[in-house]
Amino acid sequence: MRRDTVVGLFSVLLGGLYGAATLQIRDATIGNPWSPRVFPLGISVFLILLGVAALVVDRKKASAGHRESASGAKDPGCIKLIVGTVVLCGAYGFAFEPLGYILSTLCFMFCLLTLVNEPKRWVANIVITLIFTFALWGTFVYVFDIMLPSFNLEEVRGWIGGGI
Amino acid sequence: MEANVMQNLMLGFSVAMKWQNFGMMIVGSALGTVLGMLPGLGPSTGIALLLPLTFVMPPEMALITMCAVYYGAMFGGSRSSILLNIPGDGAAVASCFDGYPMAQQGRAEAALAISAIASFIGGLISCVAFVAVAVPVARFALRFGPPEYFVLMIFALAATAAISKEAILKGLISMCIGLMLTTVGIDLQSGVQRFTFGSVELQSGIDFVVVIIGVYGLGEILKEYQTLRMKGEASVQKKFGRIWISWNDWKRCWLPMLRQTPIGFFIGVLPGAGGTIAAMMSYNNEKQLSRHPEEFGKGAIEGLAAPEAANNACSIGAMIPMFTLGIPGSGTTAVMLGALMIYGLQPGPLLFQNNPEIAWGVIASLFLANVICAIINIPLAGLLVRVLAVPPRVLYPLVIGMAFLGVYTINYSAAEFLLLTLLGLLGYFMKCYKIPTAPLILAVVVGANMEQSFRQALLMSDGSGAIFFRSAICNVLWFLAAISIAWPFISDWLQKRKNVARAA
Amino acid sequence: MFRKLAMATVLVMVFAGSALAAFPGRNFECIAPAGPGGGWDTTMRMVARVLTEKGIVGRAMPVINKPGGGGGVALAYINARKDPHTIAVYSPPLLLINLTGQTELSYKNVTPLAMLINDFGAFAVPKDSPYKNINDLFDAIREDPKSVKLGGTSSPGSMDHIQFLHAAKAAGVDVKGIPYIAFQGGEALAALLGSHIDVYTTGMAEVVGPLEAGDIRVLAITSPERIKEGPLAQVPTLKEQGVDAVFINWRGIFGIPNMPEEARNFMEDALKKMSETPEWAEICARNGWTQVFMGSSEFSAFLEKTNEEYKSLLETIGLYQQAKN
Repeated sequence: MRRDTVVGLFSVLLGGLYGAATLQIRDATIGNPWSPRVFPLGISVFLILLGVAALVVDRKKASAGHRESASGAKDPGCIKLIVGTVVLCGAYGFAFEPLGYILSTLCFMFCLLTLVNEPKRWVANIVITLIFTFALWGTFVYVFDIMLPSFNLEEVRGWIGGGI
Repeated sequence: MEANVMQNLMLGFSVAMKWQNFGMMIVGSALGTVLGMLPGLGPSTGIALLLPLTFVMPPEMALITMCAVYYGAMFGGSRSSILLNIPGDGAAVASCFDGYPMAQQGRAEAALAISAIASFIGGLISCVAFVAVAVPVARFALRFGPPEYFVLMIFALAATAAISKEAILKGLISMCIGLMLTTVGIDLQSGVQRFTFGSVELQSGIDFVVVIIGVYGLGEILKEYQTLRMKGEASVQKKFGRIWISWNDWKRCWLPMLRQTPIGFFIGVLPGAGGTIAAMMSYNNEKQLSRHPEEFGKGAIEGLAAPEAANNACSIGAMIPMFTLGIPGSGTTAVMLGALMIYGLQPGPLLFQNNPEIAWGVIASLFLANVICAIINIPLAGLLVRVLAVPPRVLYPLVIGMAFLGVYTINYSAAEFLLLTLLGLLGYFMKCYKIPTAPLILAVVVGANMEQSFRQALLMSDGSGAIFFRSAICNVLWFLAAISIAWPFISDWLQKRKNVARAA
Repeated sequence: MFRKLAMATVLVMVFAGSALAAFPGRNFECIAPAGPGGGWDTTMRMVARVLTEKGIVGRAMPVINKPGGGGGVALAYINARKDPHTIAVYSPPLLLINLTGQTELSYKNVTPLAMLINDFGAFAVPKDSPYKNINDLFDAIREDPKSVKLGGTSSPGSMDHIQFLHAAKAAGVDVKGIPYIAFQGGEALAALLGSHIDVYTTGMAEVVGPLEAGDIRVLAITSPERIKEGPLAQVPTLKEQGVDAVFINWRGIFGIPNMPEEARNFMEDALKKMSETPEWAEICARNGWTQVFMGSSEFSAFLEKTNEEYKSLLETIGLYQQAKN
């Protein structure tokens, strides 16, 4: 499918979903009950119109025989990197507060480096992980006086389902 | 009057030049630069963390230190924009557009140099303007009420979305997505929750810094993964030149810097607008005025100089409503206002009469901090530019790690980590489908205020839309917005006519 | 099932026992339910500072910021904590975010330890406003509620909004139809100076500067008695103008729900000692806070009464909302 076709369809779909969600907003109890919905509804209608316009322009171009510029060459292995990074980032978010900054960051950075910087450079990966984690921890806690979360037994217990 | 200003300014310099104050200014500038470079940590966090200082220092010293931190952060914010494509704060977003392409083309030295120079010039001119026109300008800015703000933001968005004729539809789509993100959270006018899906974290909305770091930083890295292993080691820059610019660069930049400074300055004085809007507007404006707009976004040096000059001008402008009227123009000045109050000092015109050593000392310190930051930043840039020698396969994980930590410090909670990841994916797909991201960023910055101004105006007029045309300011801004949307078409037409004329 | 329960009981007793053995048994966690720089953050940092510097507590008291949801994020966090070494600062929004339905948690989900600070509200108009005193203003509202545009910082149902309605109601005004325009940060003051709104309802600290400069007129303050010094000494209270209303912006320290007796007594006592130090008096003077002290049980009763007052006000204007969940 052409790139702009996807963009157009996506806009119409997103505008529609957002509009539907807007209608679910509660009535305002002060002033005009519709007031919180007006602005989001406007965005939703505008986005749908833009999506339709994009589709129309795209059809015209396609029937005129216009070809889209090729998107540059891609490494077929990049999907693994992208998915891997996204999964790691999500896991980091869940682990950060219960495990504390140091433990979770050590794991996260090492896994991420293993993924992106290849497992064969494991010595470098370990060294970089250690330096990164402790240097930033020192900067935040001692220079900026910002507390970072530390290992939290209560939360870990809640996290693994309160087994004990 | 003239003599009086000079006399007061001399008094100010004598305060600022005291060795203790001068020393703190250097420390503050350096600390601010570092704070500004880290994504997520901006000047307002920096100054808030310095508040305890107010208990051990005399007031003028504490304020001078805070100003230096503020200033340093404005200088530092663009470092990571240029080198990593991750803006240190919102005001440095526009520095990514041309700064990062320059660094990729091996012109990082020139990019770092011009951003420091532009910041210096923008700051210096604004300091002079501060002394000369502070009070009348602040009075004029009061005429901006909710309807005027609403139209101003329409203008800013129109100018950003209409970057080119081809991309205008996609630009507007990008803008709508940004506006959607700002409607999440408790609605300020009615207290109703919107799109929070039962989450307490989402009640206060999505912080725009998370969006910037996600869409820009993380999205860019995910996009770069596509070619990470193909480029190999070739893309790494190993040799670094002197941090300076060529005569040719200078010739291209001096006019953009001079003409964008007043825009930044005035936007700073408006309490409802900030550095991000100033930088974006000056970037657009410069692109429209430029003789080669096609180079913008591909490493045009004036595309970096213009927003850098404007955002520093803005940061000085933002101090005017605080000092002259007691109204904080930005989050950072709000924290500084808090510091003034701790000392029992009341900001306002009387501050200049009752405590001239403080008011003028701070103004003089702005001049000096400007010079100090420029001096610190040139050798520092020489050090920082070596970041580019780190191969991307190591650099990217490090940048991702920093981005997460930066996001943690926004709300001191890891709840945003998931949001950051999703926004990174959004940025990735937008780049894949060639949707410009700049309109989204600006929409996220102004969106919440824009809707609120709209609703405030309608509350004021009891629902009548005529209020959006109530003043000359409104009408001029509407006119400018219309011109901005039409500009790509007009310039296209002009170009064609020129070509036809040449052919004939 | 029974065995599990018994095990849990034993565990709880062991935990409670070790906690009881010596309180404080470890370092504290002091929660500021907002970002750095605001009133809550400053109060928490100052309290923690005096408590540690004077050696009243003898343990480290790092301050942790947990902003979000108008304090709701921090409230959810404290409610889930089991460790009594957790304290937080709160003020009227603690009640208001519950009454407007933002969170199902309320003041009952924390243990009040002590009220430390009082602050009061102020109602300001532009210097060329036709309203010379608070009764002029209320008369105008009585005639046509829509003629007066009321502005304040943060959303309807928040402190700024409520304090004005509280005063208006006491003056016998029908508070239903008064339009309220919400602003952020300094924008409300700018809107007042530019005459885009007619009245600005806010805290006392916000109006001192422009009042001194002669840019605005302050019609009334919500304190029970006149302020002793500074430019606000010229401003009459509501009571002086025949409106029988006082609105206190109280600020106090809270602990986790079901805090062990001993820990609660210790903290109440520590806070009392702290409030009697000259350092605390100086901090209050510097920040323009009125220093008070109210112990745990009295504070609880106060909260209960205040909660009812806020609730009836919010019901009148239709903002009262039972939180879903």
